[in-house]
Amino acid sequence: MIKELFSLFDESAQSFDGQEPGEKVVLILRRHSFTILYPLGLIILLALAPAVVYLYLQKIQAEFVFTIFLFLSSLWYTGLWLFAFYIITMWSLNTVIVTDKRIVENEQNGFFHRKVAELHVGRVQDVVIQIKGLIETFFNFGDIIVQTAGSEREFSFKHIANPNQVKNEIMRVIYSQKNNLESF
Amino acid sequence: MDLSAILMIAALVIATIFWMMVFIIFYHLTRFGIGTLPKKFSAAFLAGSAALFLWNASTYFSLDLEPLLKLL
Repeated sequence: MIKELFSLFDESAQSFDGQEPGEKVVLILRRHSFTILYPLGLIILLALAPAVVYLYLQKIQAEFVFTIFLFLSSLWYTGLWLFAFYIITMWSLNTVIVTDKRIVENEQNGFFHRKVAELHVGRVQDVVIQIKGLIETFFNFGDIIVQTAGSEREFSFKHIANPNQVKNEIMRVIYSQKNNLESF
Repeated sequence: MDLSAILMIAALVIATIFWMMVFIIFYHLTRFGIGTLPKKFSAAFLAGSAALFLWNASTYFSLDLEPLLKLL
């Protein structure tokens, strides 16, 4: 029973909602973790606030003030916990899935605003990567722009880790598809 | 209605909102999350939320507002 419950962490590694029978997942991409470091760093700073208040409260010798402070601190940390996981949830739900048949982009803007776009690999004409600035170069992440044939819009995936490697993988899938080869 | 009853109602409202938020985040991570990473996040989130809720409850029940009321 417990083994079955924990198998969720292994079995769902290469599956997604709307996956076609026989469709193989090649890549699951997310924005580089550096992009959530800034808001999470802010939360860590805010977590220090009760410690600063505690230093001030030490001058007041009253037991009841301390119990109120503990209660308010617990509420503060609970709020920060929810906020931190809101950021982590938004980060982990914004994904790009590259399969042997298509590229699926899941865009989550808030809990109740979700957009899913997909592109058949046969329609891809060109894949461009853009690495801008010192931070992106240093941490090896950037934008991947997938250009399609005709007047169809281009797909742009922001702040993807290892963009060169991802571009090569996408090109490999396209090449395999065009040559009607089984790539994986 | 005395202060303790008002506080109890406020605490119940806050606890309800908290568990609703926990459910929404947990549901999104497990239902829409792709790959194993969101599932691991959801497990850590649920465990941490339960621990924080216990901490909230214990600090709430150890609140002593009598001296504060006397001061007011």
